[in-house]
Amino acid sequence: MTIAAVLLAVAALGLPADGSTAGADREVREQGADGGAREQDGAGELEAEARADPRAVPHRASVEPFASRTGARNNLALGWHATSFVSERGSHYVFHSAAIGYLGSFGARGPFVHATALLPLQARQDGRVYAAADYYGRRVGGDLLAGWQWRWRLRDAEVEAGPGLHGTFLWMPGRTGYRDFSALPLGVGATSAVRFRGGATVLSRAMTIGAYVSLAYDFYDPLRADDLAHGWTSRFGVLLGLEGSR
Amino acid sequence: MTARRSRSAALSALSAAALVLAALIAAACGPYAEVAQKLDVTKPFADAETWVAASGTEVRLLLLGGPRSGAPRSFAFTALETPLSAGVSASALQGEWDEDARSTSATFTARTEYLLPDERGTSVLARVGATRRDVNRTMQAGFARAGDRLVVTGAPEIDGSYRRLPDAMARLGASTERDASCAFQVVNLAIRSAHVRIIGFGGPGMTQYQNPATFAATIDGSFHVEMEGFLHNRTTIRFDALVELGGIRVDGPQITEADSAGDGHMSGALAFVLEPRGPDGAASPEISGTLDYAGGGDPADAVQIRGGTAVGGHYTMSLEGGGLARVSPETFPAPSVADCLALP
Repeated sequence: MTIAAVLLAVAALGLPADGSTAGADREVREQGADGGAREQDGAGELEAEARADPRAVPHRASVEPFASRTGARNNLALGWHATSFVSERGSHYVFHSAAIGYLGSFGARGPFVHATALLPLQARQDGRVYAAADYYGRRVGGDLLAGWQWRWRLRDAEVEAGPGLHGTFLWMPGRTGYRDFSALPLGVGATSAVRFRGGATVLSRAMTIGAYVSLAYDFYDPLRADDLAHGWTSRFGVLLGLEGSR
Repeated sequence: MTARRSRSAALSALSAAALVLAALIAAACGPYAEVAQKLDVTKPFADAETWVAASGTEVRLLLLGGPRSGAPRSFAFTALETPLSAGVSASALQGEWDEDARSTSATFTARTEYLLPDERGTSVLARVGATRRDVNRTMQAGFARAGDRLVVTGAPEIDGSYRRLPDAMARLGASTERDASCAFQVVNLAIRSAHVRIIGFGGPGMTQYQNPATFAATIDGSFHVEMEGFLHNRTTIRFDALVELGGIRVDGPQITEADSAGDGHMSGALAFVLEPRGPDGAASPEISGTLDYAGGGDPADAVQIRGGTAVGGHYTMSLEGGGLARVSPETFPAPSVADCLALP
């Protein structure tokens, strides 16, 4: 949570002091041939310039992130994953994992998928704390949060948020002489992400950085005969992406 | 077009996730495991005296370790509910005990508890199976020994009028069908005492043993548990010179092949030796034989498993003295353990 909060604060500090919007993000009203007004964002403006003289702005469109709120956002995410749940038999479990994943969203209003691979690092049960590597060998996990998101532009930053369906999968075969552990808590959740320019370009695309956070309420575990009473899963971390079309 | 393709890709990903989820749901595996749980915590005590008692359809086994310098004496207790020859449920305790100087009372402190519930009415995938938990429970009991008899009172969990097992086994013969039936009932006590300590036994938690594990016997020897396959699996419990109860030694594999619904059959054969002791404490002639789960040469008579429960076929018991019996897993033990061992 702290990392996400810091990143959000950094993003906020990076916004122009006068509150004006960046050129690429500015939305302009263009008079149509039929006399009606239609909205066109900065990308349309750039495309119009390029059509007039393709050599005049050879790369500008390629490095401007968030030129449009539409389109796909494909991000690499690094962060922390914590899932905590109570079993019907009264035990309280907590698992902390390092997480690396893909955060994708599609359109100004559209689906999103957060698919995360987990490396469980610490396991707790009823107050007892265990280093997962000491008891479990090839331990892995996954987290999927998929749903519907909306995007907004906030000065130079782009923010998206939305609800979705959630599942975490933990598969931790025990070391020799120790018992395996696995779980599949399912539930509902919500996520939010903020992206802003990093300044650098890679392959003629603007690099974006940002942060994400999500929270889910889990209430059903089909893998464990529904031994799950209830649980919570939280994720947060940083994200990296390449935006703008080539 | 790009946005449409992206949405299509996202929907494809969601569909794939749904399929994976459906597969996982189909492979449900019972309740959550304990975190960082060691599979076997038994510390064998070779000097154990084994006592047996019967109360209704329950057979009680009490193993009392001898004095050791600088360490408390160990005890193990197992209760086997046996309304059917195959048995239906079991529980066990392990811990420390001591008796007063006059041997009129004893203190038992249980440290570990095992439970194997009767889950015949529960679908295989929803079963809990055998579990173990740490406890700290002290029981004060009246304690009276006389010859091969031991009476424990005042601690309902372990109360009983016990006989020393090797002495009680001196009544067993080796030549008749009844002798073979009794030998089965006695050998099965040792096997079931081992089963209750296999975490997950009787439930889907047995998939744990895709990674094999070895357990120490309470007195001597060991047993090895291994499962191969998943939707159609083969579980092998191999007993290696297992002495779980004093005077009963078991060797060999006990094999169960079943599908994910718990339907299948058993195979494998165990070699066993019973070592009775006469009233004077001297060793009596051994009784040895085999316990065959595969039908004793008739595969159609192998023990049949339905929904994880033995419901058909026979245990084929052959004694070297000529006794032969085919024992049904689903009928009341006849003769019972109490009859075979002349328990009070």
